[in-house]
Amino acid sequence: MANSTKKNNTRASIHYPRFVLVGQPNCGKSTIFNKVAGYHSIATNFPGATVEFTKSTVQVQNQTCELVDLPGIYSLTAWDGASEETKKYLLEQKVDVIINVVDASLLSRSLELTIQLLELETPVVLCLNMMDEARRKGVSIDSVKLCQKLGIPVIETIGVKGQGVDELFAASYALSRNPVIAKCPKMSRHVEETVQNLAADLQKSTDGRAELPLRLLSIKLLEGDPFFAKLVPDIVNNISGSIEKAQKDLSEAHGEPSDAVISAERHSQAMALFEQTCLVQHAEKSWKDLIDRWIMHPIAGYLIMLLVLYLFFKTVFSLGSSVEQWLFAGFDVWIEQLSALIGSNSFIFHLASGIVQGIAGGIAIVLPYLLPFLFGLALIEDIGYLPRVAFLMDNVMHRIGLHGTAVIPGILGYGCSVPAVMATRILTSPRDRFISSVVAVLTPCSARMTVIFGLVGYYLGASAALGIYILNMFVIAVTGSILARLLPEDTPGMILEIPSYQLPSLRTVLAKTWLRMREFIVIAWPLLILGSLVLSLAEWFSLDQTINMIFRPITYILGLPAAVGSTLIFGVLRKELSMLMLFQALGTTDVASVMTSGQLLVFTLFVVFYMPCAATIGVLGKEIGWKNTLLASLLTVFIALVIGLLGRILSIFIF
Amino acid sequence: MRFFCNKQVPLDPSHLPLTLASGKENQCALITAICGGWGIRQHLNQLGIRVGAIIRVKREGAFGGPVLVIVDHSEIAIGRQMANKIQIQVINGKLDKEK
Repeated sequence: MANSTKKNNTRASIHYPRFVLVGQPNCGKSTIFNKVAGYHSIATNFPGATVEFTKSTVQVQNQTCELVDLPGIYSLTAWDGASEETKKYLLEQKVDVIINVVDASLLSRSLELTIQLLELETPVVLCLNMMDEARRKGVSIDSVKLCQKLGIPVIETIGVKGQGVDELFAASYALSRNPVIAKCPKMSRHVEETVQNLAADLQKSTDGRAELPLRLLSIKLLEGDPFFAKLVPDIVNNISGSIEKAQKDLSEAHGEPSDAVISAERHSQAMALFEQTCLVQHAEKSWKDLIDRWIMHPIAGYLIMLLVLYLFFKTVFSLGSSVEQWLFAGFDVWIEQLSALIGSNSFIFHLASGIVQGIAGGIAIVLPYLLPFLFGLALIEDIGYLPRVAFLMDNVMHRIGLHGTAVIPGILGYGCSVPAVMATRILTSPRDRFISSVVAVLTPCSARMTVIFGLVGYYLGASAALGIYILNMFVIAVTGSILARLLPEDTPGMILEIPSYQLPSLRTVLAKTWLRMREFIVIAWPLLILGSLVLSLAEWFSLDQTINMIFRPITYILGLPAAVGSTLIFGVLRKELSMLMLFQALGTTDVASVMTSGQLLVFTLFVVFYMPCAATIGVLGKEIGWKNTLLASLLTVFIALVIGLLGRILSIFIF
Repeated sequence: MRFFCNKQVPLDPSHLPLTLASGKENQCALITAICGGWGIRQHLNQLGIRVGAIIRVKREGAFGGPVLVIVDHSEIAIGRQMANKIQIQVINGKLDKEK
């Protein structure tokens, strides 16, 4: 609770009504968010956690409101980290209106969450999203009747087309001005009595000063949810007897554990609502089923997957390299002109060229690859292809001791290790999370991709770059299976919803790309320019010699020029810095004139595997603990040295 | 607090109940028991996989892969290990998708 008060105090004295989008995963929350949120929306971290949510201010009927998009949850009983953060937010922060976004084609299941949200005793608006999809599946919903039954506003929308979104926010605004808390639907007699009796006990033991809605707390304690028990330890200790008795009552009367009784009860409440308000007819045959027949086919599926990944990387590479060449030529001319103008030995030239190199590195190397990559990844994510890859890869992942769900952090790892490590939260077992974090860290992220493409791809050809990717997968598989043998455990395995395909909305994809892109522009690029400047100055003062001496053991083993030693430090800040600093350290953008092909290969291999970057280390520390982070980091350095050495031996034979 | 499946699984293999892992494509089945702890049960429950639910197998995973089931219009992939712990009773005849 301390958190929420602190937050409210630091906020400006004007309090904007705060709307929060809550819904099950893949219900189209983010599409609705991006329809109204401008490009000034920001991704923020939960207090004390690394799971991101986005928020923005929006204009509703000329009033400024705050809109928050929380990660999807199936229920208020959380079983993984990401949904736990959503739950904490709902319980601890001041929320004016909960906008419960629902995939209308999955209404019966979604209503179970709606019922739990009502228990929060906060005004709720129900948003029936994807009405077109529901109609296609043969579900017709009487939203007026649903509205009467639940006692909350119900708005039909088609988020992708923007239909109904204005009405949704108008209704939310109206509700925030005139808040009405709907009554929770009653459960069947015996269960309802048990819940109310326990709520009364809670009322007594807290003297009516409870910070949580009592009905909610009572239900969650009956369900035996450890999260809520930890939230109010004193109360639970006080009346632990009556909690246990109530649980026993339920399980004896219904012949099932009390949590199963409550969920069955909630299910029947939701089903009753669904049956009273909906009519289900035959579904239309859809292209989506036809596509899935092939995409999830036991043989064709894998071929399609390889084709998709190949086309994806091919497009990114050819787009990036064509722009890179063109931009680079421009910057080289610039530096030459600069040296002619102020003389290449002056202090000012060192300053200026450091800055220019930094700017050039950002524009010419990172952006051309990063932009198409992030766009493509957001597209694949939004279409809904990733869970299908997880389905296909489950048996392969079992070979390395993980299961299909762990593929998702792996694939996200090709974008950036930070969200990939965060995504390991969808795994329930700590052991799975550790192994897949290591896998995510070893996966070459887009920063390392720019190094692979910018050095090996550019100087040795695209097939060599592809070779590094294949080698990398092999190393990951070996590392994963070794770790799995070292940490044997019986884990529950994959339980994953495969959402139906979505036509992605360009706006959401662009917004996603921009949010991730901005992180590079705002944080990494200034760091890059600064680093370039520092290195340039270090060179002027001959400090780089000292740094290079420290790294000499590594560079000696790998047979690299001593001058690259200092670049490895920058690689820990941001992976692509190691390459950009290479240009700076060697004093040229034409690396091939200074290093042999073999050295280029070894340098790239080392950079790809060694040490996660600073941001990743930070996230790793929070997700898997600092001891494990240290372990994982040392492991990567060890792997990098081994692979680099192998590369050196190999390059003797090739070049 | 943890609850475990209260049904004793007999050791004689001929008496073993059918599990989801043995489900065939397009088969419809009633879930009769889920053997697992609190977390797993809650997790499956939220996705509609609960005792008494009727599911349809859309795809048996190839090469030891996961089983894809349809429940209440949504598709859930369940790993082989987990599928082995979900006991089912096959419903005769192929039900239509909408029933």
